[in-house]
Amino acid sequence: METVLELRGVSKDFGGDPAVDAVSLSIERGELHSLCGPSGCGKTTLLRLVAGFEAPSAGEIFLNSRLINHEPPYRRNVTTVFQNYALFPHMTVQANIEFGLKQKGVRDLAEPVRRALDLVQLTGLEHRRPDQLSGGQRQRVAIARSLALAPEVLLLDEPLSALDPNLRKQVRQELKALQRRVGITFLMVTHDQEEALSLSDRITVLDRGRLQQTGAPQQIYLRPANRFVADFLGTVNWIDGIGVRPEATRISLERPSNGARVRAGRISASTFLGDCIQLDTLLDSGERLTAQVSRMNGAFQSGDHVHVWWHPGDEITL
Amino acid sequence: MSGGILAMRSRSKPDPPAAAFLAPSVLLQALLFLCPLAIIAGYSLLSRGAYGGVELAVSFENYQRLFDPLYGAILLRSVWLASISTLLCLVLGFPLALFIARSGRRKGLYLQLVILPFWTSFLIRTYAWIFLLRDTGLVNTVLTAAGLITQPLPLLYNDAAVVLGLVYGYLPFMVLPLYATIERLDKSLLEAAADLGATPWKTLWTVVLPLCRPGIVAGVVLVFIPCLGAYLTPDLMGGGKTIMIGNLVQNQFSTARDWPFGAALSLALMALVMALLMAMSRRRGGQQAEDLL
Repeated sequence: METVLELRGVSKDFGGDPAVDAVSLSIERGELHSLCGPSGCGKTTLLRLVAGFEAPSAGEIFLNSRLINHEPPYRRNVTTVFQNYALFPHMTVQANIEFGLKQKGVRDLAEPVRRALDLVQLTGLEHRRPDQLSGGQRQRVAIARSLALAPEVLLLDEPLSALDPNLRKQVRQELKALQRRVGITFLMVTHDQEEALSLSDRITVLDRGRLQQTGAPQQIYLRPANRFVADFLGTVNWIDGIGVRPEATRISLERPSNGARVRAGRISASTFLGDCIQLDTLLDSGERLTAQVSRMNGAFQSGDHVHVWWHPGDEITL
Repeated sequence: MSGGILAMRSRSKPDPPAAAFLAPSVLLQALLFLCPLAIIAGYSLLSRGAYGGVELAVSFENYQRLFDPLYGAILLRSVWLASISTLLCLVLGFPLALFIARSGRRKGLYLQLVILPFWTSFLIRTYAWIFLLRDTGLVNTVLTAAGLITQPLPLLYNDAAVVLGLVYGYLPFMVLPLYATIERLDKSLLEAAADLGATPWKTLWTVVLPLCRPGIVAGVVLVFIPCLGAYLTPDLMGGGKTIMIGNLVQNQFSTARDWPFGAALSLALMALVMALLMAMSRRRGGQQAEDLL
């Protein structure tokens, strides 16, 4: 794998606690990489450092092995899809897409514009203004505008957060398909762990400016490096220093005899979630544990004496 | 954004409290604006009295005289000086407004400084310029003492001095609406322009200026109109040489004692300004500029 973007010990402070604290990270060519973490973890600042809107307080940023710390945004071959899309309101869709090409000195604009619009399936809307587009269309124009320049890395700042939830899941898959088709490296910021897990080739989790873990979705979900990463990516039941995710936690009336780890307890609440049922249990040892089970698993009532169990292989050990 | 609710209300019959709130200003406008305006319109159709005032003989002669080339030249000259002054205000005011909008916590202080001149009277400030620029003024004295010149420079009593006075006097009216639009500009648009490869200079021309159009229109209107009708500045800083339409009107009511012609001139000036305003509000950005005013 070839590294396209590399951060070495990059820090940024705005006076006070560092927003980004000594982050070292390599982004590989062609991957879809998500920067993930709660708000204030430094993920957007990191993106802005790569784009060139902020200068690092320490450390080095390399693009294609070239130090770009001191290059202004307009000389960096990376482009950004902004959270609010930042389409120029006084320009048509076509003029928005032409904007970057013109700065590059491209003579024949028609063909690249057509290709960019085609890529995001917006052909026919060339002459609309941004205020005549829906949120989803605006997002696609923003992506087309950035992709038209064929950047080394496309930076996306919470690209789905402004869309309504139903649209979001659909666009998520479209975004991934688009990335595969164009083969451009995507570096995406998101606070939504489900989005990160479902889209990314690799994920970097940040907390308070520090890098917590980088890895493939499965790897960081199943083998989190620390408690923060484990908890951030989904609910974890912690018992005696061992973690078990609710979907790996099973419930049965009879005691299982298959080498599983078993605890006895009672059902304290049963919540219907549509695609599954959430069972809250109170163990005899006094701990509380949550399980998500299939509806097909049978019905449990509050107060039922049950066995709570899981396979040792599903445990999260730190 | 154009005060839609208020506009809609006023079209239907105002409810009693609204009428009560409106009454004082309507009364004031009627008494102090519409009545005098009607009197001026009336005077403009009468004949000149021997010692000022008017005689009750209806005549359109005053309007015919407006087309005298002598007055046409003064009008053109007024438009020219007002245009130059407005353009200079724009050229000087835009960078200033941009600077203020980007100065973070110091914005308030800088805005105060822009407004500071209003704390003293315009007349006094104009005299201050005279003291600076006249032959025995500070500038000439210092330059002479420094041995840089032997003859005092003709800094006062010419067109340049009038333009200087107008630019100085009306610059804040340009800066404030420009500042208001620049301030409201979405910063991410500037970042997007840079991100797509535009240098700061290119961003200024292709993104900032077009989006600041309402502020530019508002500033131009606010500066051009008072400049066109200015009479104090050309009178004091232009000496007797630089006469603008405002001075011409004033002369008719004082030395020339031709009130009807003065009235016709005022109305002509008003008509010109209104025509310009209407032409502007028809163009794109005009509506937004009106909101800003």
